[in-house]
Order: sequence, then structure tokens, then C-alpha cells
Amino acid sequence: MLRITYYVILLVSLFLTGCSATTAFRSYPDVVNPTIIEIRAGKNVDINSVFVGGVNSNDKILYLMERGRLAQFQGNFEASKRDFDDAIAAIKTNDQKAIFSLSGAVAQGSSAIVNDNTIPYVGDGYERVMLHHYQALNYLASGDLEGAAVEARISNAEQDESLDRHQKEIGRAEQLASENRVSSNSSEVEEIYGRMDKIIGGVKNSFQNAYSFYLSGVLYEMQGQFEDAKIDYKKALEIYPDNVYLKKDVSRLSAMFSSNDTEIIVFFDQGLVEAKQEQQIPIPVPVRRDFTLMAVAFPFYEPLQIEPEILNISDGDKTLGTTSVICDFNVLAMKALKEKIPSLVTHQVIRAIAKYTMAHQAEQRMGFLGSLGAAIYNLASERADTRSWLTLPANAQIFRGTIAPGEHTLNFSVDGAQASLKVDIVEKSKNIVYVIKMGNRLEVKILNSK
Amino acid sequence: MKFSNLVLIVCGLAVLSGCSSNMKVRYTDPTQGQVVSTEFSSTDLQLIAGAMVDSMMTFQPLAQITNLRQPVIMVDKVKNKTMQHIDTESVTDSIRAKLVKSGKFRFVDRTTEDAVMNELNFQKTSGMVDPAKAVETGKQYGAEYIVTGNISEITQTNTKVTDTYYKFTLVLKNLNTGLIDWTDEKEIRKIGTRGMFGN
Repeated sequence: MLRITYYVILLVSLFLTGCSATTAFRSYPDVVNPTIIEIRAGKNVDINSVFVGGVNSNDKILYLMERGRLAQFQGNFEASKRDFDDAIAAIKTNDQKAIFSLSGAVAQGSSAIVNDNTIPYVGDGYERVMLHHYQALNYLASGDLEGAAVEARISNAEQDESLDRHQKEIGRAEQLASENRVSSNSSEVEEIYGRMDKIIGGVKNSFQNAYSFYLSGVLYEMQGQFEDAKIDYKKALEIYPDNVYLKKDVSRLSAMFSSNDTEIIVFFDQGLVEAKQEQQIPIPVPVRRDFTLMAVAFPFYEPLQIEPEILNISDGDKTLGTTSVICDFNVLAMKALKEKIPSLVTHQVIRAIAKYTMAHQAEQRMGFLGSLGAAIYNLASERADTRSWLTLPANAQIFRGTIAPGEHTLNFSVDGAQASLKVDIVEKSKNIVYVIKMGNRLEVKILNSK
Repeated sequence: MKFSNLVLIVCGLAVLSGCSSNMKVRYTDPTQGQVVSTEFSSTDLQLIAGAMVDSMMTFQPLAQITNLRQPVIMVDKVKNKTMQHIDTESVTDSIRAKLVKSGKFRFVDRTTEDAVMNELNFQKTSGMVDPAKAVETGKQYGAEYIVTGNISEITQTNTKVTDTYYKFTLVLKNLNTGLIDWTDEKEIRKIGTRGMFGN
């Protein structure tokens, strides 16, 4: 009996020490939020010292994406490019790993008795698409248009691959559920996820976004490939039919006008995407031909309708126009979570069975002490997987307009925040201006003029 | 299964997953096939440059011209239309180097023009260079031919297999006539399969 207690202590302490840097026993938003609060308050964070533990942990992909994004916001495009490169390499290594790998089995094994946070983070479809999208902006900032186009192409290909992967995952979840005789239908679960439906609306899937197709179209146009540009603008319009600039671009290129105008194109990333929250839901767990209720932690998004803040752009005192929304990342993040519910519920039920069995055995062998220990362990370990890329914007907007060649002072204002940018516009050039707003801080950079 | 056994297995796996192996390094022949992944590799670069230049040299109408004289040609940077960051400047350099070594052409290079302009300006305006020994401007050769190329890629992936197809196209255009005097393409296809078991 003493020996069993010894093992329990050993096991719990092993995971507690091994996972202190990661999020097995602490929610991911709690780890990242202090940094985000600093950024929102207008402070710069030291890229070399932030998330150092995280980028060396199992969740390195996630922390590298966060840090790369912070570096980009602060205008450090080289550091951002390095972090995104590392994240891309880590994703590739992970995708090419043997189908049944030892490290994968360890993570899955510990997730079965701890929680989903012990599975290394691999990145949701929409996050992978945006990773390449933002890497393309880093290439643009370094003056490498061809490199930017490469990243945009990968970003497009990633949208197709995610569709494929998503369908397979649903198949696997169904198989796992039937093997374990688990039903993924629970009215409580349906209730919290059902609330997200009114925000998600008619969005078809989480990984296709008009913003990335638009960037790809602009890059094609800058390289003189108008046919390719038209295809991507059309795809973007199909996904987000309400954007005014998309409609113009599609009709312009359909009439075979290659744009020789001197233009400014504004990409505006507004705000920060919502974090997942956790809710304990009692779900029926099948044990010994009977059911018992166990509290299981589920991740969910608060279904808030957030109005986008629109950016006003002027050239000196002359108003140029306002941006128009092209992608809502809160909706994509919710849809991504919704897509994973069948597999999520199945995993949670299997884990609940394992934890119930553990508690039952501990009680049989050690009586009250055992069941107390098991209860404490369950309380500590029952954590929802609330990991997601939190420095993504709440939404993305675009503006496109003509401008006369020469020197200009462009002014940007949105909801109390202001910034200006001096530019020297060359005739017949496409000038990409990248504007990011986090908190009350507005950062404006010119990425490329060609 | 006993609970204690489960604990032992989990601990054992945790220890094993920490293993690593040291990297071994050796020299090898650059033209020898080294298939590591489906990505564009040094072997592909060698294959492409070699095959393309051979094809161009042995093209009959062109061989007739180069037997009589050495036409002046310019090699433009190969365009990358793939989903990888390929150093196309290096591909371009390899093609040019092979063409130069054939001795059948003479070359102009516009990529170094900035440095050339600096030097010519210095010779003219600095007052440091003996005018008799300065380079006379306006006497450079113009290219008669221009070589352009691009690499494109089609990749298809499923859980187990990555199938990548590369196509490299090279075009020789006659600047006098505007006609394409020669073109060829080289295809490479690589299939990568994920292992079933590993660490």
C-alpha cells in the first residue's frame, strides 16, 4: 500500500516539475496575458527575454508564433522572421514524424491521465495559414518580393491541406468513439457550443480566409501576374463578399485592366483575438455497464459580438478613405474549436474513464487517503486545453486607393489612436502600408514600394 | 493492468523519449544523389543545370551558329514559382558557369552594373585616374540572346505520402528577331513516405 502511494506521489511530481514551463496545470492565457497587458499599455517587450521557457517547451510552435508576432508589431522584422522560420521548421518536423512515434505516444499517454495540454501544440489550420501570411510580410519588409510570394503560395496551399486534414480528423474521432463505445452527444456540451453558432454564422470552415488570398493576389499583381492575381481576388471575394475593395479589384481585373496606377494598399490588423475560457461540465461516463457523472473541463469562447474599429486614412488634410473588414479572426477561432468538438468530447470521456478507474483503485487500496489523493489529483489535472495563438488580431481590414507620386504625410486614426507616416511615392508603384493596433497603440510601417 | 505497472510504463517512456543520437558528418560527391526529403536539393540543382546546358549546346540550329562565332548572351535570374525559398541566383550562376566553360558564347552581366557605374564614374570624375588609361565608355557589347527560366512546383500531400513535382523551363530568346530560338524543360518528381514507427 505504501508502495502505491509512493508511485502516485512520484507520478504527480514528475508531471508537475516536467510541465511547470508549459500549461498542463496553468491555463495558457494566464501565462501569456501579462506580456499582452504590457504591450497594450504601450510598453515594448524585450524579444530576447520574453517566452524563453515557452520556446524551448513542447509548445514551442505556439510561443514562437506569439514572439514572432510581437517582434513584428514592434517593427523588428528580422527577429520576427527568425521566430516564424523556427515555428515553420518545427511544424514540418512534427508533420513528417513517423505515424506512430514514441514521443507522440508518451504525449498521448500522459494526456489520457492528465489533460490535453500535455500534447505538444501543433497549430490550428487558421493559425498555420496566418503564420505564412505574416512571414510573407516579413519578406516584403526585407525587400524580397519573390520570397514573400513563396510564403503566400504556401499559405494558400495550407488552406487546401487543412481542409483535407480536418476531414481525416473527424473520421479518426468517430473511429475512436466507436472503439471505446463513447457517444459524443451531450446536451450540456451542445449548449455551450451552440451559443457560439450565432457568431460563427455562415462561415464554411475555419482555415480559409480572404485576407491571405488578398495578400497573395496583391503580390501576384506586383510581379505582373494578373491572371493569378484575379483568381486569388475572386477566391477572397467568395469567402468575404462584403468587402468593398475586393469587389473593385475583381471587376477591374476581369475587365483586363492591369493596374498601372500609383497606389497605396493598407493592411490593418485591429485588436487582439479572444482567448478560450474553461468550463467544467458534468458528463455521463460509462463505467461497468452503468453511468456516472464526472466534471470535465471544456474550452469554449464567450460568444461576444465585437464591433470592428474602422481605420480612417488621410493624406495631409485630404481624406483618402476608410478600411473595410476582410477577415474576422474571432469567428475563425470559434469555428476551429467547433470543428474539433467531436474529437474533443471523445478524448475527454476516455480520460474521465481513466481518471475514474484510477480513483476507484486508489480508494480500494488506500481507503479514504487514496480517494482524497485521487480527488485532489483530478481537481489539479482537470484543465481544458485553452491554448491558441493570442497575438493574432481580432479582425483584419484593407484599404486600396490611388495616390499622386511625390512626398506625402499619411495620417491614420482609429478610435482615439493616431499615427502618421512620411512616404515618398514613386510613379506607378504599389505601396503596402501595414498598420497594427493592439490596445491603444497604433503602429504604422511601409513594407514595400515597387 | 495494475496501476503501478501503468506508472512504470509511463515513466519508462518519459525517460526513453529523452534519448538523442550524435550527428555523423562526411564528405561526398556533389553530383551523387542524396535523397533526404522532397525539398529542392543540391542534387536537383546539379541535375537541372547540367541537363539544360547539354540540351542547349546540342541543339542543331544553335550549334551551327556557335561553330561560326561566339554570340553574346545574357543570363537573366531564374524565377522562383515554387513553395520553397530556392536560391535561384545560385541556379542561375550554375547555368552560366556551365555555358561559360563550353567556350561557345560570350557573356554580359547586368547584375553588377551598379558597381561598374561606380567605377566608371570614379575613373571620370575623381581626377585620380590617368585619362589615357581610363576605360572608354560607350563601347560595351549588347546581348544578342537572353536566357530566362523559371522553376515551378506542384505538391500533393496526404497523411503518409508527399508527392512533389518540379518543372524547370529555360528559354533562349533572340533579341534581334524576338523569336524563341530554343527552349527545353526538365522535370523532377520526388515522393516522400512517412515512416510507420519512430521516435
